[in-house]
Amino acid sequence: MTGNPENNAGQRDPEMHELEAEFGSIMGLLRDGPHDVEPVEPSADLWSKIELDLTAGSQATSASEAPVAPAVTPADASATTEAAAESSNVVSLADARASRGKRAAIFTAVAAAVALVAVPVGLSLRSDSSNDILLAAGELDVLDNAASESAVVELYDTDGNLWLDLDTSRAAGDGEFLELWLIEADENGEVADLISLGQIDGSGAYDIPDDVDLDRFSVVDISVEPDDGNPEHSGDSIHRGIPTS
Amino acid sequence: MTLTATLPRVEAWRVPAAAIGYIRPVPPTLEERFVAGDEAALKEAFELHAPLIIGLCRRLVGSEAEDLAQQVFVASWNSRERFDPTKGSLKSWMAGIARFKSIDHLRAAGRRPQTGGGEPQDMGEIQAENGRITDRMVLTEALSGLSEERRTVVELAFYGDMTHAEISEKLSMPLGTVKSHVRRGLEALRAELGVSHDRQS
Repeated sequence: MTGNPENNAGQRDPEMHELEAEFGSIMGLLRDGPHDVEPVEPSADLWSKIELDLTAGSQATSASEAPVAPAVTPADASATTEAAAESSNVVSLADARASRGKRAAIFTAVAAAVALVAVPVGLSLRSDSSNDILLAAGELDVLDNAASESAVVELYDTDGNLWLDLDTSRAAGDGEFLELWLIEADENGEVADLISLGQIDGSGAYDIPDDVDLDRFSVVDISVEPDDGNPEHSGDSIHRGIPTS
Repeated sequence: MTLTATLPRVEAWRVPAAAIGYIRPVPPTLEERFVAGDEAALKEAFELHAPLIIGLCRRLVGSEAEDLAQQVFVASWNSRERFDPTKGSLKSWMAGIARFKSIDHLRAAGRRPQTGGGEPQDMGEIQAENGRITDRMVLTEALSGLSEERRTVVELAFYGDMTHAEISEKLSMPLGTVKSHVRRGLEALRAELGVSHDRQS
């Protein structure tokens, strides 16, 4: 299916025209249609040749006492995997927090009360951009014995804005809704403070206000709330957990 | 009086003492392990991407596609620290290496690619043509990585030659949502293309 320049939507559509200045070259390539590169299975010995090249390269580098590049040999993969995990490009939550610490504010009861009626935002903001940096993630505990249900959260930084990507099959029943919270737990595990991120409608992306200190509000909580106009937490939590880096 | 003092059933909220125990860290991605020097990740990348990279190499240099693909995987591993997984995919980055190396490969061999018909006249034209082939592949592959809804909108806009309004009507989707999908989709594709254009090795 190739774009037809004689009947081009870009020429008929003012919305497209607006994008031309910024994305013109990409739009032109897209209109050429999908690529026509046919995958070709590698020959049986291609991988061996690559291994050989890398081993030879490593030995040559070692001989010249330059920084050693690891050879591709049947090494202990688990050890390298651990090393990879330690030095991965996932930004540590501690680092991210440190950079945000200066603008973190003490969350007062008044501020929390305001946040309790906050509207959920950005339901379509799923992570598919290279600007999204994964800071932390985790699968939340199920608190209501619904063993077949799950909730996975990922904390992202997109150009300095933090947001949670929630993936859950949960849905609210009639006369109730689900609400997403961040909780500060004290040293005894008691709830010291909490912030509502708003009502949720299953999976989606939910912004975290700029002034929230995630060192304090580190627990993610999902509750079932009766549709009774009371903005306070019902106490009926169905998922809870701490995403980690 | 603090807000929390008014909360019902506070006891029921007790965060389990083993709170840390239910943390399930996300394992590093293939890209992250690759950059960190995990040799198993290179093998996985080869198994995953070799067919497409060889196919691309065939378009770029003709019958010596496997030789070029071999160079691509070796070069990508040796310069892996220059790859930034937060900016795009390993596949796009490798495609970019294939593009750059194809020109060196053809110069060294003193030959032209066997593209079949309409063969370019000089290295400048070959370079432009190889860039276009690679860009199209990177964009198409990146498109497949978008969410289904966004991909559908972008495909209708560009492959289907439909206006935003026509897409809105066809998918029963608000015009603003169509506009947002197209813009965010193009932003994602541009980022992926940027990875393939980085001078990697």
